[in-house]
Formats: sequence, structure tokens, C-alpha cells
Amino acid sequence: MTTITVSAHIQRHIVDADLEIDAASALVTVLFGPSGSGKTTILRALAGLDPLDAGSITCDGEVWNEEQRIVVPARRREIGYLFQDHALFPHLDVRANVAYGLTRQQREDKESRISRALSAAGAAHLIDRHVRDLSGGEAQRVALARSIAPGPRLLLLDEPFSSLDSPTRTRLRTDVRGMLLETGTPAIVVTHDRAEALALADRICVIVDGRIRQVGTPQQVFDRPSDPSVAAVVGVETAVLGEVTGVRDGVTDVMVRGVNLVAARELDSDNSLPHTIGTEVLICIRAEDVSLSVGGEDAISSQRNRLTSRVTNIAQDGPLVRVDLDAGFGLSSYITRPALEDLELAPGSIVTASFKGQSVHLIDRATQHHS
Amino acid sequence: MDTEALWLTARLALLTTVILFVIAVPLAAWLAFSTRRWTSAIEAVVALPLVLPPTVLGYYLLVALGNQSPVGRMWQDWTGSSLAFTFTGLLIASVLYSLPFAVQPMLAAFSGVDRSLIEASSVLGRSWISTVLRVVMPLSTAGLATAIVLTFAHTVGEFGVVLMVGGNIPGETRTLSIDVYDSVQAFDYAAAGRTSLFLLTFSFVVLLTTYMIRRRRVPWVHA
Repeated sequence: MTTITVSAHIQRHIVDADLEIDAASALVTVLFGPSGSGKTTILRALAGLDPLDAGSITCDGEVWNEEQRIVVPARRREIGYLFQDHALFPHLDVRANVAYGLTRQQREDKESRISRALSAAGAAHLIDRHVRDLSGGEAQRVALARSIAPGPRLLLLDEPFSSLDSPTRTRLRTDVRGMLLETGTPAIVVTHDRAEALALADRICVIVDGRIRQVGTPQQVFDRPSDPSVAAVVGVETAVLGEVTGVRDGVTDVMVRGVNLVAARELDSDNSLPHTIGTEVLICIRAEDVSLSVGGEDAISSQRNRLTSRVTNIAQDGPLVRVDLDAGFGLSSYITRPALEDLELAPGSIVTASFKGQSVHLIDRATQHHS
Repeated sequence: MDTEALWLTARLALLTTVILFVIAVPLAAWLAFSTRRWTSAIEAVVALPLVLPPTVLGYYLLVALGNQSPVGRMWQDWTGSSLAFTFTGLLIASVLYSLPFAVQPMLAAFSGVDRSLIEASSVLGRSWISTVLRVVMPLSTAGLATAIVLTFAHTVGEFGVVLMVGGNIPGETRTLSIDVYDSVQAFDYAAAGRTSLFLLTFSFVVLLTTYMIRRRRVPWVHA
């Protein structure tokens, strides 16, 4: 397993960020934030593609950037970079594209390296194709193979799936995480897509207006945003890890810390592909989708998820009230003030939290054993 | 038609094209991708022969290549012959005079290469030279072909600079365009007509080729 440490203080345009990467503790770091927040600026500086206005970048004790000076140029950083638009060389075929970054020594076993990289990226069947005949998803897989073929110390991915259609995007990001774990390649991924961040990250850095606002595991960041700006960016109140326990007609059963939930399969989104039993998934539930009731637990409802929960905290949040619950796992609900008064809720009250299967959003997380 | 002049013109144009190709590729690549402040100044210098009267350029070259200049003297000491009014002097003049015709089409083509491809190449460990050879040039074939054709044609057609620097020495500096001038001076309109028709046809074919290259739709050239 590759380990790498990067310590960077990056000032360029609107960005002013301190970044510490330690691949031994988190293999995949996601830089997450809205468009224009400076994520790509950080990534390009790390790659050596743009100079800093001020600051420094050090990798494994070697100085890469010192103030405005690029000490180690991009070509000597031994990194892989996956561009948004794949940036495959249009005049070369797939094989030549993947072989492009191989060093002289690596060229001795060129063919095996090419086929290994292509298989890892799930693109082995494309080896004899020409770049112009590839679909968007295929091109991005080949670009991925090209970036990992020389065995980079660090892989940088710039919104790698943003130009792809939804099913392709979902499949590819699961495969990418699987590939990173299998090859043990440390990676930094830039994305503004919540599902993508959750699916890929071991660690998330939330970036707003050029500043890093919060660093933590996906769970920490999405469960407990450190400030309102992060909360606005992450926008999901509940995100917990669970496991798929059953796949039926249009629904998927999941288990979270002993609690069974039902998730509807949506069309054209993350839930559109059938999950495999035993898959680890991130379960996201937005607080506005959770309604609360007192008594009448036996009533039959279209809300397939009904959980007896204990109120842990009540807080005013704008015009609404946020009620935090313990349903076996942490769950939140947004209700109105009159509703709060009618339900006579207080910390410790027992309520029934209910939400539809469509409100349960599942995000696949590839694990080491997942292929 | 004066075959000696035809042969000399062809040799001059060919050598000028080869030399200019070698000089113009790195120069155009540097102009296309450098972010330094004085690239504009270099661009202006490269384009000067387009607007300068050939006699002005010829005058400066004559002075620079003549026996009174350090360059001319050094050449004289080294080879025993002078640069002015020789084929070598003419070749140097042609290279300078046709420089913009080689650099500008290349510059336009190189600038059109998708920036992320160049970045991809450097992230993949390739040096600047390797990137130009393996990515930039293969994606600029139309521009390179245009540069070659225009350089050759422009050298064939040059007159003022040749007259200033080369004079009119048969077999040494007497090109086709000088031949036309000479024939007219000698009232040999028939000879002038033949050579002129040849040059006219040649120039038309060259330009036709250039525009056909430009119009050809190359599938892997990105917009």
C-alpha cells in the first residue's frame, strides 16, 4: 500500500487553504464544495499545473512549491491527473494513450502494464479501439487507465464524472473507489456532487469561498456540519452506513444498526441499479422528509418506514424546528412550530418518525472485497 | 526559360523551407505556450518582414553580411569568401524574409491544440520537447503543411531582398524572379512571359493546395 503525505498552504486567486493529506489514515480525500469555491484551483496547484500566489506545497518532505516558484514541475511529481473532459490524445489509439506515461524502464513490460491498467479501470475490452469511437464513460475509463498505468504516488481527479449520464456515473464511481482500494492508490477527488463525495470519500474537506471549512469522515461532515455554510453545502441531515439485506419488487431493504428500513428504487438515480445483498451503503435521509406523530403506531400508511424514536434535542432553525431523534441511529426531522406545540414534544418524548421509501437515498460504497 | 535560374530557385526554396521548419517549430511552440511578457515583442519581430519594404530588409542584411560587419568579416576569415552576393548570403536572407510565413500558420495551429492535452502530457511525465513532438505537432498537421507550402512559395516569389543581397549572378544568385526582371530590361518580352506564366501557374497551384489543406476536415482536430 502506497503512503504519501502532502502538506500544503495554497494561496491562489480566491483560495487560501491549509491542506494536510496523509494517505495512511485516509486513502481517498474528497474536496467538496459548490462550483466556484476554488476546489479545482487547489487540485491544479497540487499537480503543478498552476503556480501559487503565495504559500508552499511539500510532499513526503520534498518541496514542490515555494511561494510563486514551482520547484518540482508537474512532469516530475509522479502523479496521475484525471481531467473533467478525459483529455485523451485524439491522434492515438487506446493502447498508445495508456502507454503514453510509461517510463523507459516500465516500457520493458509495456503490454502487461497496459492490460493491467485497463482491467483495473474496467476497460480491458477497449484496448484495440480508437479514442474517437469511445463513449463518454468509456473514454473516462481509458483516461483513468492512462493515469494509473505509470503507478502514480497520488491520483488527482477533477470532477471526473460530471460530464457523464447518471447510470454511467453511478457505476463508474463505485468502480473507481474499488480500483483505488485494490491498487492502494491515494487519491484526491474534486466534486460538487454530494452522492459522489459520499460514495468515494474516506475523508471530506468542505470548501466554501476558497476556505476549508470542515475536515472529517463523510459521516462527521454530513451528520454534524461545523457551521451553517457547511450545512448549506452538504444539505443532508442524516447519512448513516448500513447494509443491503434484501432486494424485492422495486424496493431495497437495508439494515442500519439493527433497524430495518425500506428504500424505493428510483428511476435514473443512485437507486436505479439493483443493489446486491450484503453491499455496504450510505443511507441519506433529509430532515424535511421525516414526519413525526404521537400514538397510532398500528395505522397502515404509505409511509413504509415507521420508527419509534426518542427525542434527543429540539432546536429552532429559521422558520422551522429541527428535532433530533434517536431511532437506533441518529435521525432528524424538520417540523413547524404549531406541530411542535400540538405534539407536545420535549427531549425524552417518544414519537413515531415516518418517511416514504422514496425519501431513503442509498449510495453505494465499494469496499476492498467489492469488485 | 533559364533552367539554371529554375534549378537555383528550387534549391534556395527547398533549403530555406528545411531550415525554417527547424527554426520555426520551437519558436512557434514557445510563442504559443509561453506566458512571459515579452512574447508579444518577439511576435512583432517575427512578423516584421510582412510589412517592411524588401529593400529595407535587404539594405540591413547587406550591411550585416558585408565585409564591414563583424559577421561578414568572421565569415570571410572562416571560409575565405564573402557572404554578400553569394548563395549562402541569399539563403540567410530568405530564411529571415520568409520567417513569418513559417511561424504564423504554426502558431495558429499550435494555439488551437486543447490545453488540457498538453497538461495531460506533462502530468504523465513528458518534457516540453517530447510534448511538442508527440502531441502538439501531430495535432497540427494542417498548420505545419500550410507553413511548409507557404514558405516554399514565398521564397520562390521573393525579389527585392534577392536583388539587394544577391544581385544577379547566374548560377549563384540569379533566381526566376530576377530572370523576369532581367528579361524585361533586355526587352525580351517573350522570355519574360514564359517565366512569368510559369511562376503564375506555380503560385496558383500552391495556394490552391494550401486552401485545400485548410478545408480538409480532419476528424481528430478539435475545435
